[in-house]
Amino acid sequence: MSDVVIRAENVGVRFRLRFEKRSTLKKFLFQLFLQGIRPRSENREFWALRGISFSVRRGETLGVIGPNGSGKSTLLRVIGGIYLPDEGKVETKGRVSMLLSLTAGVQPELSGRDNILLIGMLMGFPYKHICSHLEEIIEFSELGEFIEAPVKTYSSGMLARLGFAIAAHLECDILLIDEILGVGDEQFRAKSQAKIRELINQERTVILVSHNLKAIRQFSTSCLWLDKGTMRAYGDPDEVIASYENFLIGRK
Amino acid sequence: MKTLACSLWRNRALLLYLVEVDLKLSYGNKVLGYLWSLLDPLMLMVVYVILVQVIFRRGESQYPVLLFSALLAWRCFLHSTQEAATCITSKAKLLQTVAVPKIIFPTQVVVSNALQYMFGLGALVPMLILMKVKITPYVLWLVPVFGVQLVFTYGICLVVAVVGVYFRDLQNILQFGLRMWWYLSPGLFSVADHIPERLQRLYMIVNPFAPLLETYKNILVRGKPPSEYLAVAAAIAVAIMCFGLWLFSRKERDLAKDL
Repeated sequence: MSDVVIRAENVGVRFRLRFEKRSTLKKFLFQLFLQGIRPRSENREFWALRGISFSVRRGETLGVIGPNGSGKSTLLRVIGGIYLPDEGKVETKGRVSMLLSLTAGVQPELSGRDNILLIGMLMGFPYKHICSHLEEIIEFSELGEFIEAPVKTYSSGMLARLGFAIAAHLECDILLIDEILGVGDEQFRAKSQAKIRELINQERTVILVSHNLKAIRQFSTSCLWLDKGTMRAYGDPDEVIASYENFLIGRK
Repeated sequence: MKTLACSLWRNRALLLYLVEVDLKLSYGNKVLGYLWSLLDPLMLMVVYVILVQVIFRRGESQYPVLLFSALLAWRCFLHSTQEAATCITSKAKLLQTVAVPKIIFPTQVVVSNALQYMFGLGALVPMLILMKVKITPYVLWLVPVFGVQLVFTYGICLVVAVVGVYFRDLQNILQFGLRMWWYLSPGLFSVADHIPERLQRLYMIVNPFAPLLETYKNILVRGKPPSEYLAVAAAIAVAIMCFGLWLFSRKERDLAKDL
């Protein structure tokens, strides 16, 4: 089929578990000289994902469910191109973007307006595309005149609003959503949740990760249940969710 | 390596924008910010000149401008390397949410610092005139010499950027190592006067910054052509850059996971 936009084949992602997150160069060189061997690392490997295969066609929504630590966010990162699979392959067609409150890349000294451009470009959008959406983003963020102020003067709520507005307004072909959570105060949270729902309902390919089974049932055209990095079930959302619910009851 | 070059080319707009942001941040977008940035190396030069010429009563004539021509180039390398050590680790959160080719960041560091060096020349030129240095056509060598330095810097920065992800104390060690390197390079002294003749050859080959800094002094102030050791430095620079690109292309796919 030609309109398959995401295809994952037997995808596996391996992590090295290090007990000490980053060792020191001093220690490394010391061991190297003293023992004359490469220091034996206590690294253990584990597979955060393994044997994952699915395909999503244009306009479909894939719901991903599973308990904490089952690899849902890792799956999104693999599809988003942040992690490359160590096994199997992922193919995507078109621009992929993660819908998050993008505040990780902000430059505190720059104005809100400059940060929109900066983050947009880091996400891989052309300068002109961001410029054409600039006013829309500023309006949605409700920052008003503060958009010209340096981001370091923003409150955390203002920053979150800015981050969300950027992520929600730059158009991409495949949208990755990690939980339908709003940001900001009561009013803005409702507005941002409504925006996410609107984005999902558009003719766009979406991968939705959520613990909210009602939302998954409502939006998904197919559903993937992950458990400890492997596929437990994949197919019709109602069936997958039903067996997931049974599993949750059985675990209690 | 080819893919690295491709991803750089595809993201050239982002690269240039990051450079622009970096310069904006360090100059505050104003003339005053530019003058302020010139003051920094000038002050350091004044300190060294007082130390060497006033206290120890040493140094050749035109010592300040000789020192400054070397200092300016060294600081370009120094700042690039220091910034490269944290250019990926400081963006850990960003790199786990957005798929950006990581080669962009060390590249941006080198480009930004290269531009700052060129701005710094704005202080060197008036100094040359003030000290009545005779300008010769050899100054045109500045372009290839600085090119060699940039290639060398880029290679070192690529290595440092990757190593910085795995060893968090790299920055401290670098700070110490770079300071030693500066004192061991002919910035404050000249090779002809202070290195024993039988060691000069070895010295010029082992330390790429020996021919580099000597060449800056020769072409800008002394009105002499570069020595043949510049070719050695160029060969080392290319080798280091190839190594850096190889290391980066091998590790780039794992960097996001290992942050």
